[in-house]
Amino acid sequence: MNTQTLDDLKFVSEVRKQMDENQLMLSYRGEMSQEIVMALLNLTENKLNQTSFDTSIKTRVFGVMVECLQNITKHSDKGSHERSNVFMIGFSDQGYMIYSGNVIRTEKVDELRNKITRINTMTEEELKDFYKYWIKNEALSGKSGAGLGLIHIARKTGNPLEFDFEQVDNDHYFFSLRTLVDH
Amino acid sequence: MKVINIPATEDTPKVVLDHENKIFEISGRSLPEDVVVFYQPVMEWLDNFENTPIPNMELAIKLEYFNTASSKLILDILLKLEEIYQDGTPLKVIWYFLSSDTDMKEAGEEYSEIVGLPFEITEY
Repeated sequence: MNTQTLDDLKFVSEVRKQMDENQLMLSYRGEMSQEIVMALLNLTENKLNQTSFDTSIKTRVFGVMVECLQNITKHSDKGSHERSNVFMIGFSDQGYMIYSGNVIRTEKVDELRNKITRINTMTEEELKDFYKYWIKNEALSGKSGAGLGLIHIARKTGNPLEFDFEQVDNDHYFFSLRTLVDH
Repeated sequence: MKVINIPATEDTPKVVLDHENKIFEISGRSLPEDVVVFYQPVMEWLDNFENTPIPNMELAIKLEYFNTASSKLILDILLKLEEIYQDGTPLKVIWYFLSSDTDMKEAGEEYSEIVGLPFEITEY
């Protein structure tokens, strides 16, 4: 065994430290399919069921996860970055912090940014009306955008959707989203 | 009219539409990848029901969780029932929620505000 190998292994401990610092209970990076969505949900649900929080809190965490993860299966770029999806969930004094990230095409950035910015300025009542309008009037095409899921997340958490776009290359940006479910 | 009896899976609900035994129920979780495909047989069954309606159907909706994509399909089902009801066939929807789950109660209340048909919201 040489020391080089051991130095290389330091990242394991580094990742653990990073996860501890951010109070993460689950961290995933890779492809996203319905099977993986269900596996991540089952893992988190087992942890949630060990807590004594109300069913509503558990359902909200579950709901935010479903919408974040299914947005990724539906809208992330399926090209060379299909394994670049990220999902993390942390637990702190404030509540459950849910993080997701995926690569999207550059031309979709403005639309998504505008949508989230608009949702973040809406009151609870406006979000409710918007949600009702949406399920009544918008076509349910997989390509109609991540609107309904994002509205649902904003409504159920009552907190702003925090987001960021980081350029990956000319054609792609990495979209990160963070939401807090209070407990 | 054929009987629909779809057992629940981890991401799809149990669906029973059985006019012979008068059991009409959608229960469990609804978060399939493709909601349109999953609910297709239900919509087809409702089209048949519209042509040969049976009075006093009571549809029990007892969902633990549904994703936003399913919320649109649930509305489509309710709107179809509204149409049948308004054409003169008495029917009722009973929306069940777990007593500790206020969000599911609210979801039922929102649907009852959107559709015009007898809509009962009951805790279990």
